Order: sequence, then C-alpha cells, then structure tokens
Amino acid sequence: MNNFVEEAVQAAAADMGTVQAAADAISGAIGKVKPLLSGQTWTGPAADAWEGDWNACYSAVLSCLNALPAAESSVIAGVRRQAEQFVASHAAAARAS
Amino acid sequence: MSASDEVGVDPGRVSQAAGALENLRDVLAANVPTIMNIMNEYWSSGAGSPISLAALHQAQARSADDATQMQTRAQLAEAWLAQSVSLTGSGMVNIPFSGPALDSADATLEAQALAAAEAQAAKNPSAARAQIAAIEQEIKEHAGDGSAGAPWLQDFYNDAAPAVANLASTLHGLENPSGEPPDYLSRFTVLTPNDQQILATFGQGLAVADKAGLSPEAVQAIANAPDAWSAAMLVKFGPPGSLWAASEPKTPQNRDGLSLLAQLTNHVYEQEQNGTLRIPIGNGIEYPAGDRDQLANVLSEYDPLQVMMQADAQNKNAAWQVMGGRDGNALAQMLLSSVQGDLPNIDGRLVQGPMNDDRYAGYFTLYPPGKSVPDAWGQILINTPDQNVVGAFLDAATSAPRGNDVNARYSAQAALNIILNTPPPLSSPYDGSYAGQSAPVQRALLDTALRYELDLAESTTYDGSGAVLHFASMPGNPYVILVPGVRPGNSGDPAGTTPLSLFLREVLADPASAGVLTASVKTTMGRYYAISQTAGFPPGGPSAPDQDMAALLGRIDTEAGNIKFNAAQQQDEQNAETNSLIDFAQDAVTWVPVVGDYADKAESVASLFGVTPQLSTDNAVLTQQVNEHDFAVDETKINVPMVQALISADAVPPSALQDQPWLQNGRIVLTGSNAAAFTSWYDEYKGSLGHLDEKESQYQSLMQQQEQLTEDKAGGGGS
Repeated sequence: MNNFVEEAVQAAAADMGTVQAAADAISGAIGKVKPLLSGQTWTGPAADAWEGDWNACYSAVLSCLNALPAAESSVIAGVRRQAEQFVASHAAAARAS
Repeated sequence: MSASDEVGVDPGRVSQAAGALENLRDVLAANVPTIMNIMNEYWSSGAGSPISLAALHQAQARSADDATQMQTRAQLAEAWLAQSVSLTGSGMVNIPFSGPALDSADATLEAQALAAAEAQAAKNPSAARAQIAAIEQEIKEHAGDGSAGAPWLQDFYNDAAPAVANLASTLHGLENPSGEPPDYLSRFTVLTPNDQQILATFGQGLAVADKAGLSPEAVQAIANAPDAWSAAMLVKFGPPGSLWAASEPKTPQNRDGLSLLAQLTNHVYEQEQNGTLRIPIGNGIEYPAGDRDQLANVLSEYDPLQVMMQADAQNKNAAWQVMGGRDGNALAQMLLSSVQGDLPNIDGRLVQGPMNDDRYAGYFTLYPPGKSVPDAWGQILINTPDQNVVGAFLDAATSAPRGNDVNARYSAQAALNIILNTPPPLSSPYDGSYAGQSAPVQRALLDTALRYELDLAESTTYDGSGAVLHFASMPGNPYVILVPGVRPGNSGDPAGTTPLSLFLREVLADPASAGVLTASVKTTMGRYYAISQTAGFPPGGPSAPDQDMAALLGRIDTEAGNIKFNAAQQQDEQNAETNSLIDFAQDAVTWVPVVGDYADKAESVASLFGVTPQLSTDNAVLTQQVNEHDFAVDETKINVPMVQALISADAVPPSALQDQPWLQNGRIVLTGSNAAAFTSWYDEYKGSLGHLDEKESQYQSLMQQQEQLTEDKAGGGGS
C-alpha cells in the first residue's frame, strides 16, 4: 500500500514540476522585457505612466509566481495526506471484514 | 495630439521591447492555462491551500494589446526615423505614445503601407500580398470592435482612399502579371476567392468608416476613382447596400449630400459613356467561340453598373439620388428603352481590348448602347443587366416618403424620369399579344404609378412638359410631378399620344398590374369622395382630387382598351382588380379620416398624397381565381368603392345599414344574392346620401371626357 501513496505523490510532484516550468517560462519572459522598459528606451510622461502601470501589473504576477513553490509543496503534502488517509481507511475496512 | 502624448523613443530599443512583449504574450498564452488548470484541479480536490492566480489572468488579458501597441510604436519610430522627422539629437524620435493619437498615427502608417504595397506590386508581388494581408487583418480587428474601431477606420480610409479604390485592380494584377504568359486555366478568373475575401474586408471597413464619416476628399477619391470598376468591387464584395451611408455631409461640391454609393454609381455610368470602363480578365487570352457563354456570364457578374444598382436598391437613398440625379434621365432611357435605336434594355457591349505586341488584351471595355464600338480582335458581347436588379433599383428609386425634403424631391424626379422614358408595350403582329417589360421592372412601374397616383391624375389635363415642383409652387407643399397628359394630334400621331398614356399603357399591358392599378384608382377616388362629403379638403391643395381620380380612371379605361387581352388575361385582370379592391377595403380603417378624427389623416396637402393604397403583397397572388364571376363584375363598379369609403368614414347613419346582408364586418361583400340587395339599397339611398347619385354621374362624365379626348383626335379609332 506504500506504493499507492508514493505513486500518488510522484504524480502530483510531476504535475507541480510542469507548473513550475510554466512559471519559470513566464518569469523568464518577464525578465526579458523589464530591462527594456526604462529611460534608455523612452523619455516622457506618457511612457512613464505606461511603464508604471506595466510594472505594477507584472509585480503582482511575479508575486504570484513567487508564491507558487509553496503552493506546489502544499499540494504535494495534501496529496500525500489524502493518499495515506485513503490507504488507512481501506486497511481498517479490510480488518473489519 | 497634446504634447504630453508625445514621447521621445529610441527606435532600436522600442523595437526590442516590442519583440520581448510579443514573446511574453506568447509565453503567457502557452503557460497561464497550464498553471491554472493543474492547480485548480488539485485545489478543487482538497489538496493544498489555494492562492490567487488572478494576476496571471490579468497579465495574459493585457499582453496582446501591450504587444500590438508597442509594435505600432516601433513602426512609427522606424518611419519617423526614415523620414528624419523629430530627431531630438540624442538618437531618439518623438512619437505619439498612447490613446487616439497612437491609433491615428498607426492608421496613417497602414495607409502609407497600402500605397507602397500597391506601388511595388509589379516588382515584388509576394511582399505586396503579405503587406495587404497584414492590413486586411488590422481592418478586420478594428471593424470587429464596433463603434470603438470606427475612429481608426476613419483615419485609415481618409488617408488610404486612393489606394483602397485601386485595390481590386492591384489584386487582379498580382494574379495576372502582364509579363507572364497567358494562363488558360484561369482565363475566367477576375478575382480569386482570396482576393474577394480581401475586398470584402476592405469594403466592410469602408462602409463602417463611411457611416461614421469620411472626409470629402476621401469620398471623392473613391467615388471618382480613375478606375471606377476597381472601386465598385469594394461594393460588390462589401456589405449590403443598406449598411452604407445614405448621405454625405453637404459641401459646395456636393450640395445635396449625395451618398458615396450614388456618387460612385454616377461615376461608373459616366465612365461607361466615355468608353473608359474596363473589366480586367483573361490576360493575353484569345477566347474561342466555345467560351462565349461562360465569358458573358462572368463579365456580367463583374459589370460594375449592375453591382452599383444592386447596392443602391438595398440602400434606397442611393437609388433615388441616382435616378433623380444628373444621369437619371439617361439611365432610365437605357434601362427601360433603347438608346438611339439600339437594342432595348442592354447596358452596353463588352469588347476585348486591342492587341498589343501580338498579345490579346487582358480586359474588356463596356461601351454604351447607341454608340459604335472600335474594331476588336477578340469577342464582342452584348450585356443585359439582371432584370431583378434593375426592377429592384427602379422600385427603390421612387420609394422615398412623399414630402418636401430633398429625398422626396429626388424620388419624385426619379419617378418622372422613369415615366417619361417608359416606352409602350410592343404588339405582336402574329397574335396581337403584348410584350412589355420584365416582371420585376413591371412591378417597379406599377409601384411608381401607385405612389404617384394623384400626380398622374392631375396630369390628365396637363399640357406642359414634364416637371417636378412643389404643389402649387408653394415651398411648404410636397413635391409633385407633372407628366404631359394632353397633346395636340398631328398627321403622324392624330391621337396626340402623351407620355402619360404610354406609361399607363405599359403598366396596363400586364393583366395583374392593370387590375391592381384600376382597383387602387377606384379605391382612392372613393376615399377622396368620402373626404369631400365629410370634412372637405385642406386648403392650398388639389381642389377636387376625387374628380382628378375619375379622370385618371377614364384615361386608364381608354388605354386599357388599346391592350388586347385574351380571355384568360381578361379574367386575370378582373381577378386582380377584385382581389385588390377587397384588400384595399380591408385596410380602409388604417387610412380613412373618420368624422371627428379627420385631422389625423387629411389635415395637410401632403397627407392627401398619401391616401393611395399601396401593395403589400406580390403581384402573383392577386390573379388568384375569384369564384363568382358576376360578383367580380359587381365589385368593380365605381359606386361600390364610393359607398365603401362612406361607410369606412362613418358617414352613413347606422340605421341605414341595419340588417344589410352585403355589409360584413364593415366591408361590402357582394357574393350571391348580396349584389342584388346592394343594388336595391343603393337605389334607395343614392339620392339622399352623400350626393351619391350626383357624384357618380359626375365621375362617369369625367371618365367619358377622357375617353373622348383621345378618341376624338384619333378619329374615333382610339390612340
């Protein structure tokens, strides 16, 4: 029954790996934009306003992406807990029968 | 553009930023759904602690616009740099950075790009195709934005109008480069399906921009395009004519605010008259005789005059602006009659252009009827426009509401042009049958007669030349038409045949039309009679329209006598008249000025012109069999609509109508024994009610005068 738990955890870990790869791709793409949004590229209040708006939006995105690893760990832990509970309940049922 | 909208930018770095934002847009599109789907699936099963992913969604939503706008800025900066405009001395150029100014500058850039693509089409066709496709995509996006996209489209078409007008020719040239050997397989292709799609998009954008408002210069660039055929293709593949603007702002050059469609139609017609209207097809091909039919069909499909008439008919305003405009009289003659003895109803001859360097020309010129065509090396094809299109166009041209505004004036002029150019039906020397206009055109003529019935009635005693003017020349009155209706006879034409008679004869040549028109005139006469017996006619208008209608009825009887219907046609005519009388009586409550409520319907001179009943159904249904022949004959006597109108106007005391079997739900029904009962009733009341006896005699006398008018001059032999 330990195999069941490990297999569930491994599947969740693989999915979280996919999520993290996607998050890394986004972070990387943002990272390529940010250096270009500066006074070297443009000067003027309209550009500054647009840049400020863009930075605010993508700060929130980066915060979200930065919070993902903890969320991913939480998912994996949750899957492990659910699998272990499932195994325990089946074992109890087997003993009762 | 305010100064604060302008930003100094480094073109190279802005271009890099645009590329990075496009990459970010693509990365977000590929990865945000992955993250959201996987995480939400686990969280919904109870695993882990959810966090908000809304920021990812918001970023993805704005990423497309960010990328597009930055790309536009990069293009602007590049263009400004190329023109050495606004260099700030630090390697930067000033560009509009956001909002309407950025959109406007983008539209200007796209207009320049279209002109450049067309200019380089011969040298670099693949680059031209790609550029045109990219602009098409932009137009599609802006047109899809509804009213929000209109400003961009207005800016684009204001700048790009000359290139847009030439687009169809450019697209044809891209597929048929003049230096290439003739392509036999594509000899019938004028525009490929892809070309047609491109023109559909450009046409749709133009229609949106036209409705939102184009500059007069842009309208002129399209409406007077050097290549009118090319401009007309935007209409052919664009949206229906009803989605184009009905008028343009008035300017010194366009004092009545004629629509773009109307102006372009005039231009197409005038190019045809000048022999400069060309349809490009068959690059270098010699068409064998076996190709003739298919070639004729394709060319007819691309006939710009037919294209414009169809759109004008859908637009309605454009139809009366053209038919009542500077070319309306000549166009009516071409569509309804023959020009200088040429074949009737054709709009010209399509002649393949002259050979050049032993190569057949890749175009056909449409030469107008009545003019000789040059020596041709290739095919010469006679072109007759689709009669459904012609009928719809003529019908729409006279459909403006009667009144004293500019639309009513154009529509009245259109009606006059149509009436004056309608030839009489041709009589067969073999069986005496009459060949009139096609059914759709016949319907248009009938509708014209119904819409201008009182005008025709007033014309029965008019001996001047055709005219459109305010009734009684009072500016506040509605526009009316005067058709020559009386003319002295001479040795060649002892009857003094008038345009009014010829027009009526053509309408009456179709049995169904004859029945409907007769019924309408009788009904209208009855209605005017009822008005005369109740509240009277409004001052300043026709003094006795009931008597005018009686005269018209007499003229119709006379002209109908010149049409020799066979028995079946006579039955059709009578059935149509009877059915129409019934229909018109049923809708009487919607028009009649009941006592005490007169002001609603006949309070003004203008309203008097709206008393005529109009057809709401197709002609075809009107010839359906009426079961009882005798009933049909009774129903068509003029005293019946007179009494019907009195009853509808509540001008008959209820006591006089009590227990009358022929009165059913307010309508006179003369089936079976009802006819005899009605006759008895009429004989009892005609001397005491509404001067029925006196008025019927008066109307009969007026009818006979009309018959005498022509018979006397014709030596008793009719006209």
